[in-house]
Amino acid sequence: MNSILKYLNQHDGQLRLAIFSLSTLPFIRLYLDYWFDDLGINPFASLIERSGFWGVFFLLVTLAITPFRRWFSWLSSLLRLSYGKRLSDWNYLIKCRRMLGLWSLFYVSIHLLIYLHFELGWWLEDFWLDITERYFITFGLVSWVLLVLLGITSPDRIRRAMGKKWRQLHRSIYALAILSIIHIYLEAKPTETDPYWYGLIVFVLLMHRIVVSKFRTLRRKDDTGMPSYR
Amino acid sequence: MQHQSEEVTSEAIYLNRRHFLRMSSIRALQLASAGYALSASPAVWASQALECNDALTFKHDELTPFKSATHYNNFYEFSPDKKAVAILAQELTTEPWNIEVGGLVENPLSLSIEQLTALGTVDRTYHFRCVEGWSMVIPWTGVQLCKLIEKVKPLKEARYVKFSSIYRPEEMISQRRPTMDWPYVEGLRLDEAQNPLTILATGMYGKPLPKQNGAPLRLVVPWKYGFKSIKTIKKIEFVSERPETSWMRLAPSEYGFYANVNPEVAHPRWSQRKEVRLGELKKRRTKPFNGYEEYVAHLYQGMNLTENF
Repeated sequence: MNSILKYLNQHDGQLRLAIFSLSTLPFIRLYLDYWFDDLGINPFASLIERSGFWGVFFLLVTLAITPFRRWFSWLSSLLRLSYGKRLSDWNYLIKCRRMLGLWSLFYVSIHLLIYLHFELGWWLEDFWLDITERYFITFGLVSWVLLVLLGITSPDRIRRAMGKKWRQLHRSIYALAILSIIHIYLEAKPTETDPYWYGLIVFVLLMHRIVVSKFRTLRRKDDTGMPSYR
Repeated sequence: MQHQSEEVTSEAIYLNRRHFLRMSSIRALQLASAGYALSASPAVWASQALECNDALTFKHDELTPFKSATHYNNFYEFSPDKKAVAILAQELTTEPWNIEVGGLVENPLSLSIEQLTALGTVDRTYHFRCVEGWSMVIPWTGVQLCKLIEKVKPLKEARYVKFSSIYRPEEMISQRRPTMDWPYVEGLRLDEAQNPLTILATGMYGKPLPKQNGAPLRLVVPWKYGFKSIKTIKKIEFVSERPETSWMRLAPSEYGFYANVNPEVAHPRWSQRKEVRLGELKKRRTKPFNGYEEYVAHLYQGMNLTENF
């Protein structure tokens, strides 16, 4: 176990390649089902639901990285493991995060394209009516715009050039998470329960950050959300 | 069922369509069906009420495959999962089945499905539009509700008709959970119920009604969203006050009493301007009153249909 964790941390490039490959699978499956006309009885609903699910899935995984690194290191100390106590033992999680966020952007963009093409047929007039009549679409659209901003500012070069502003901008992922939960909640029928589950996950992931920053005993200088070298 | 020829035709169309689907992609199919249009015989543009005995024929788009119509069902008594309903609904015992017809009527009745169909059946292929933005084209067999109304003779005070589904949690698994107040309740204004388009269906595609589609008896009101077309009807009451229907109780801002198909009035979640025909990918424009405007628009003369959604 220790050696696996150590191996992963030292070979994060291989891990990223593995995660990259896995992340293409939902898209490949979706495309094959589309191509072979195997999307089920309501193909439109299938496309829009599956693309949306993977978009929010990758968003939640991205948001989970920072808390999970902290929780894993805490758990390792609790279990007195020889490897995994330091935050830096989990740096590879942080190194995968940008890619996971970009996968969220990818699936959410597919979700938007499916809506624009199959529902609206690119009628901008209908798009405008939808934004003003169906607020869940407005929330979804704002979330997508934020996600695009985060995506285009994600390369290292731009991050360095933006300096402190980069972190401020990228904190908007918290707002983005809340907006996307509102999008899911408003889209669901009154009898559906999954929005509450998504909401609970986002609540826990955001609460972790609030709790850690409010309580002095929990605050750690090295838990910045960036790779740690202690 | 006495409709042998209907069965042959619909099966042939169904098989033909499968063959077609296999040969070509869904996009080619859309092009083919785009040529069809829904329009009714111009002779009956009705500014006043239609008679129960009027002979009515309706043009319609290509039928939805039987498999799709029977494996994509909103039926909350069994499951909120449209695909699970076809399996879970088989638990329901549909024989014997008596419906109680009462309330403000001269002749309250308790009748079996056979006694009901003895009033005379009709075959009607209707477009069926779900509030969620998808639609089907289904050949129904059933009894015009107006025939039953003529038989029970509503009193002058009767202004609405209230329908209740059966409550049987031992067979309807989701009735054990309080998703909504069971049994499911729906309602129509008396003149809507008397419109000859409104039928009590006992069959579809020339076969007895499948359990997942509401056997043994369901309402079909083709110009309203699907949730108005209540399934597994147990009780029909004639009342003076507008009944509170199940979805209205759950979310009054979202589901109105009238629930007429209206592309101009958006639901907060589903744009009603468009719909997706089951089996197709691209949405098509929704027609006012689901294409049955000329038969039913007179019922709502002078009413604000945005407020009375």
